[in-house]
Amino acid sequence: MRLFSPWALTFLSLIPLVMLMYILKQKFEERIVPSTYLWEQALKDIEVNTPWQRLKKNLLLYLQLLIVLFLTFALSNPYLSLGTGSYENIIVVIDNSGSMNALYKNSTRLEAAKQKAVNMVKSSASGANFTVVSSGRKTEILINASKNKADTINKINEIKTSNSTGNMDDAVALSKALSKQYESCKVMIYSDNKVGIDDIKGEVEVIASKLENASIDYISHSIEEDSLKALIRVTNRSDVDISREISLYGEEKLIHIQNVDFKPGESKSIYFDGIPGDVSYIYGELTEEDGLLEDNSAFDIIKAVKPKKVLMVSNKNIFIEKMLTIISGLEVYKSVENEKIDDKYDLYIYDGSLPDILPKSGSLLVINPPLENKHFVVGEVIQGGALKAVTHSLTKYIGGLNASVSKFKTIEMPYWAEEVMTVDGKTAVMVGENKGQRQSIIAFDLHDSDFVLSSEYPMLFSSLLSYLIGIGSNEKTVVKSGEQVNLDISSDVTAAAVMKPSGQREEITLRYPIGAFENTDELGIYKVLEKAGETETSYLFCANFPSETESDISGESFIMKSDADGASKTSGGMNISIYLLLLGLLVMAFEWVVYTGGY
Amino acid sequence: MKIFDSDFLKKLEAIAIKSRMLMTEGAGGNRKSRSKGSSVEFSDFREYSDGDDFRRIDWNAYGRFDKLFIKLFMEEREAFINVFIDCSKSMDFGSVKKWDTGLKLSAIITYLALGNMDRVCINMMKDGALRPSQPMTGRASFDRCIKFLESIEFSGSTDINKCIKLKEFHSRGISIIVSDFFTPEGVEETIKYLLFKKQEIILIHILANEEINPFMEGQIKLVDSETGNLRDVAVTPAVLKKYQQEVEKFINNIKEFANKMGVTYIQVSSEQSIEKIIFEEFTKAGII
Repeated sequence: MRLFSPWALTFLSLIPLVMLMYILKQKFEERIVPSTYLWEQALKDIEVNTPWQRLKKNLLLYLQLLIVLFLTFALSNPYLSLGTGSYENIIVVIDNSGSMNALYKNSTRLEAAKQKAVNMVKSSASGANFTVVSSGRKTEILINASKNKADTINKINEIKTSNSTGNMDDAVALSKALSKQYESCKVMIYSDNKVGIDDIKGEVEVIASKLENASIDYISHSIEEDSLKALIRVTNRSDVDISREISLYGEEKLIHIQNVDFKPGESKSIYFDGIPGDVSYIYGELTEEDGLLEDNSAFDIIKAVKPKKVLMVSNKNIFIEKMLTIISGLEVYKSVENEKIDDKYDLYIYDGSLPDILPKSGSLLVINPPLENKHFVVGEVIQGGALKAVTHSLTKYIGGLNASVSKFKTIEMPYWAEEVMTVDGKTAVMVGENKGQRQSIIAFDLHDSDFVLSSEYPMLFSSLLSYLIGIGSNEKTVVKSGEQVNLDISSDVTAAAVMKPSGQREEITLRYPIGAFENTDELGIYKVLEKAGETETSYLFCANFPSETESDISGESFIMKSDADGASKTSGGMNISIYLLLLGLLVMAFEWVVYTGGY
Repeated sequence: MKIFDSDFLKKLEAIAIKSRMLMTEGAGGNRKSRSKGSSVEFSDFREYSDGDDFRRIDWNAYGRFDKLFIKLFMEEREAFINVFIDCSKSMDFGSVKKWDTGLKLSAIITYLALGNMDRVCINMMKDGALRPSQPMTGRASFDRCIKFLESIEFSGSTDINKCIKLKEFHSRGISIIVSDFFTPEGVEETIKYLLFKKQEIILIHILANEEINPFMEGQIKLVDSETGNLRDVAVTPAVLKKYQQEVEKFINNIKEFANKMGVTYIQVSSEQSIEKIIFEEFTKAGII
């Protein structure tokens, strides 16, 4: 026999209490009567009639003890195993997605879910195997088939809130897969949303209460000369009219406040202008607290808009000049061969010529290098052919290139370079990073090819510039919490770290290729710190709450049970609590008869 | 102890007027004793027995029937009424105290008797002692009666049998005993003694409602208000039922014995109103 709710055995402590009451029964309530004369008469008869009076008191005691025993065992949910003695396996799934942060009673939904799960584990039959799965951005098995209740409870309590989008389907699929390996298995899911568990045996306990909630779904900005314009999109996620005060901050300084009314379910875009252009980030905030606090603010990073300085050393190459004018964010300077260059530039473009000493800083784009130079081994001019793109990140969009080159120079590819384009299998365009300097070489004169007339030319040029000076970089600076961020760390960086919104510093292992940064659970501004030699640079990115998927908290608590076939057949036995309950009632009735009958 | 307030005195007057009208004799004043005496008004004949005054033998009847008969005459004289009040602690019980009802009834009886030109003596019975009041006659002495009644304190226990025997009876009369009769020895001995003393006896048995239908449950330690005796009782419905049977038996025993001995017995509850007791119970018993 197994007890599914052994905690109920604590009621056995009532037994000493009942016995104590019988001992304390000696303490009679005093009552003054005019004379005990008649009582003596009455009792004399009764006592004469029942010589086993003492026994009668004990009979009541025994009956009451029996009642306590029966009821306690009935409460402890005893299960009489008649078949195999296989232990039950319990898989606990706890949703820890962003919406579980919503308020629930005095705590959050997640805390309530954890509490319920802990209670369930405590009250489960001893000997059961527990598996705990948390379902946030990722589905994780925290403990697998453990018989140790204390460990299981610890693991459940260790589940932390996350601000990420959750997908319960993965967790359900995992539970299903896990449950298949056990003969008797029950899946207990604690979530704030309905979860489909049609084909597994288990329960879904939905923990939710209808609460008012408004969320900032989106914040963006545009740059207008010296100032910024911001747009904040706010949605009323509840079914009542609400009014919200929306504050816009530039870094930590409050800039504007607007009051906006919302109808149920309504979304509104609110514009703010006149924001100082020198802030590095902005964020919007809803002042009123509501059911879900995490979605009450959203951040946006203002990218550094300092134009890149480009020096073009060329003999009036219209194809290059044209390209440089259409790419924004560039400050183009022109020079001619052999002219002395004093200033420092982000990018040096040498077309048809090369100086004796190459600039140490800044990137380098060399087009049609001269045969005699001190830097690259340039061979004979040879007959050209079809220009082909090699599979490379820079040629992502120009795969279908159809162009040819009439003549070009064979250039020995340096050890640090990679091939980007070829002519007849020989390298025509290469890129690479030499001693921290990004370089690219185009081995033919642009005038000798119809490539510059094709639509792929600006694409390649843009990609090359992006590679060389980071113009038009696609690195995301605004992500949803839980998403990963690709860090833009150059190879000359010797140490890098990410400062989280909470101030916690996380060092980045500089092993190339640098993996994406994943710990974006905290909401707010992250600072990437890079150290290259003596110089330290930093840039920002931010993580916002995934309000589209997690802000809708308008649910209500309920319990959903599923009793899939097959799960119950191994549990050959029966729950005998109802019989114990009946027995208890029967004894209680008998006790009443004994008591009133005065036997 | 102020039990006889102006309200009660007003009520008393009303009761006196009404009961006077009920009296067969009207407002004539003197009361006709039921005991036979030596007045001129003839009442009955009775066979002569030893000890009878032979001067009352009706010789004419002897001549006719050859048997000795005695002529009985209505004795016309004032009656001597003794009121015995049980002053034990047990009378100090009930939501309406038993002594309250007892004293009021005693006062009314005294008032009516004094109005009837009878002599009244009130006797306190307590702790085996008897404290009689001065004999009272005439309405004017009613004040003394009130004072005496008000001076009574209810404490200790009472052995009615012992107390009554301390009373010296000089002549026939009426003895009224006001008590709850909670004495283990019973009142049979008292009744027999009073009858021997040629007393007409009226027993007024006062019980509180709590005694007749006690409301208690569970583990009770009963404390005897007079003796301080303790008794642990697990009061169950069965015990309560038995107790009620016991109360009934107790009342019936006294009632039956009283009937057998030609004694008037009235059982009242302390919660009944005085008027009700007077006009229903007393008239039913033929006292008024």
